[in-house]
Amino acid sequence: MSLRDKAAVVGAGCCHFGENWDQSEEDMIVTAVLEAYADAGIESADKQIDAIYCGSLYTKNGPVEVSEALKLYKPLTAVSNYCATGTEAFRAGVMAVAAGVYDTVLVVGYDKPKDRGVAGPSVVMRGVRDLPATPAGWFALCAAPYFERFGAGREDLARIAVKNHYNGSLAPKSFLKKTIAVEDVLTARMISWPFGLYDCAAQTDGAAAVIVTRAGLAHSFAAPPVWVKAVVSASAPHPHRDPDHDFVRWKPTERAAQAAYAMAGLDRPDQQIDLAQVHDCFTLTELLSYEDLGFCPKGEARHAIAEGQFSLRGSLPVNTDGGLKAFGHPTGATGVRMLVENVLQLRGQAGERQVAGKPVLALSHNIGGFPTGCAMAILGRE
Amino acid sequence: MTSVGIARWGVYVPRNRLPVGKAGEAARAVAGPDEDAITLAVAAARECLHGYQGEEPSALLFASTCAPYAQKQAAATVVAALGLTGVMRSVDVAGSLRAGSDALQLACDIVASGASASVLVVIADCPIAAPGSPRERVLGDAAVAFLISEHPVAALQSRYLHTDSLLDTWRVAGDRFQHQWEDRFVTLHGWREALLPLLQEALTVGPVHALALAAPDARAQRELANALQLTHGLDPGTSIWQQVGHCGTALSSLLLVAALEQVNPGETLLQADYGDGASVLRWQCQQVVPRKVLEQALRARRRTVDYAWYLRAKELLPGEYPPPLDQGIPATVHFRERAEDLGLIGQVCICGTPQFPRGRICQHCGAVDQFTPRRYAEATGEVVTYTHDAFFPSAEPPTTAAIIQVRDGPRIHLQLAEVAAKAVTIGLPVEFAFRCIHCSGGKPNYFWKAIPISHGEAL
Repeated sequence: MSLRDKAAVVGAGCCHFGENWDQSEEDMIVTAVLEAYADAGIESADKQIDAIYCGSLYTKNGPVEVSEALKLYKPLTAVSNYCATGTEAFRAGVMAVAAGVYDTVLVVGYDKPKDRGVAGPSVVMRGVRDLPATPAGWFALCAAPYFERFGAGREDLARIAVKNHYNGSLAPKSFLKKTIAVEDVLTARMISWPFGLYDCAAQTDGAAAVIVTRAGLAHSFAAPPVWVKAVVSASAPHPHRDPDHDFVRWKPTERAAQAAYAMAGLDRPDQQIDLAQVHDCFTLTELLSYEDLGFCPKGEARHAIAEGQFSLRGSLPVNTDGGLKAFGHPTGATGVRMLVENVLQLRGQAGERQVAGKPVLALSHNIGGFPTGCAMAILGRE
Repeated sequence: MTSVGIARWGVYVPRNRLPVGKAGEAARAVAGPDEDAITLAVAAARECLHGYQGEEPSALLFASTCAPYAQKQAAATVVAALGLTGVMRSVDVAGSLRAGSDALQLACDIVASGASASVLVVIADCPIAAPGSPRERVLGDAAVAFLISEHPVAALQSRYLHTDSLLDTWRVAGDRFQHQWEDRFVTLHGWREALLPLLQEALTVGPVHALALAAPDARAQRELANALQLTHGLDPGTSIWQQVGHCGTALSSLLLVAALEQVNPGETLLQADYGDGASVLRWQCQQVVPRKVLEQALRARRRTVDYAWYLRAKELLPGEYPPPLDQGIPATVHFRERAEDLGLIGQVCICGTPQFPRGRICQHCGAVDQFTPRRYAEATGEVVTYTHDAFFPSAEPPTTAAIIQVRDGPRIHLQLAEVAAKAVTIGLPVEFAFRCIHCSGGKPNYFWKAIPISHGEAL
């Protein structure tokens, strides 16, 4: 069943992303959700929200973190799909509404990685041979083959970090407000070749929330509805073991994009989509995703980057709020934060970082795992 | 009676050399942070069995004073890593500096008794002394493996044995460090008094052409050999003092290999070992030595390391993020994965598609449970892609991780070892080495790493 136009986002909220040492998961959830309630004009969650869909990758206590924070007695579903968790929670909520099970649902994504005492993701030994396993270490595996095949290099990746830092500097709730130059990226300490410090997303704490309602109720809320044109998910077996994998693409994104464009009725996504939030856990992830999403042909990303196609004033602005790189990456919150940004952009409420030309269609994209999963959403103003 | 003895041998010396003494005149061989007595033993045994087409050994003896587990057999792990499906009997010999030569004798006894046609003996040690102690500058790491059978290259002719209990050198249960009493006491009572009468008796039997004389240090060894007017065979021994150090219970066997690779058919060698008594084994060379391995083992990928590296590699420095005090990887996971982890055993579907690790559904044809196990440890492969991960906790960052395309096999994601980051390229040919991947739960977790195929100096 196509989910196109069956549901709408009528409220969006997000807490400040960062090293929120003074806030618990519950504190951040309350901030994001109350903002979404206010945005939608929800005065009684108990009466107006039928169910909750939440996602957190590093949850300490599970879904009770959400029901306890909000003091709600509602059906509560927790989903998890690595870094695609936030978009997956949204997909679950949209499906429930489209199926007619609920009228209005709350979607919450959150995570609090900064309680672990390390600057990056912690390295947990999960298996006898489960090593070396750091996110930078497995995402970097596409670099050497891509560079060799298409002549790209660290400078092309650096330009993505520079762009996202600039965009993040314009977003009031982003973690990093510092603009940087290509030289800063190239000279930073190495994390996992070819990723230096600035090629890696900032792991932060954060929570984000959206309110989803069925089409018939879309105009009964305070905020103008933003329509769900598509929300899809794709998965794949482990790419490291795939005998045919060429390490210049992520197959889950290619498959999810195909499904999302079919659901939204798009045949030239590069021209029809006005802006996109693309998963940029590492600069190379964003670069490969440009191509996997069909924003440019395979191998051509570096030219599009050099031409500024994906910058805030380019033809297809990407990561308008700074992305995972600068806004921050509280894993479960990220997909929902992307939806919040797209809602604001489609309503023309994105302030200094507002893209020009009254955007109509906005895409958000999460990948997770090694990567083994991808979840995408396309929202529309009309 | 048919002669029994050493048919083949293999040596493994870790590539790291820690300079000791003035102006780098000598160095100690030091196992890397991913090596222990078991991985050293596996490496030596693989060298010993390289190209071997004969009958698979039905028993394996492992000798060490530094086995990773105080209680859990090392020999069984070595058997699994080597994929020796025919081994019925596995034995650990431990506790004494002469455990190595004891195991060698026992193996000969097993073959002579007719209980086994061939027995593999692996002798590995990586002793450490307290940081800053004089002994720290003497100890080194190495492993030797012998295949024992009838019609050997070197036959065991006779032996001269003595047992005594002395507190000259020891390691108390729970202590990491080897200790010893004052060196002149050790040399006189722990070694010379025990060994000299046995050597004199062995020399009465007939002429000796080479001597493999284990000793507390190079000077003691030289003085006794001079006194016996038996210096042939000591020259390579000297190079072992220069390049390896006192490799614990592997020392007399490493010296024996050095001597074996110098003698001719008909000539006789004495192997002299010590520790709570002494053993002298009289070997006779009966065939031309088919293959010399020691020099290559001493040279392979050799590189110089410094003392700070040594302290990190031996975990003698506290780290910023100590490993969590948990039970580590569940024993049930170890159990289910033991063929994959220890033997690098994957599977091949009836459609011909290889897979690693095992699964129930074929990635290619979708067939369910139609797989045959296949071992890839002896295969070669090449690097599909790689990264150098500086974030992954390691005594030697960055950790190079790669996807390896095994020739006629699956793709496997693993670490690269023994290669400089700048030498890693797509297409780099590799083979596999058995290593300790991490120590989660305070226990060794063994798996394989890819190492570049190279027979020369370090890359």
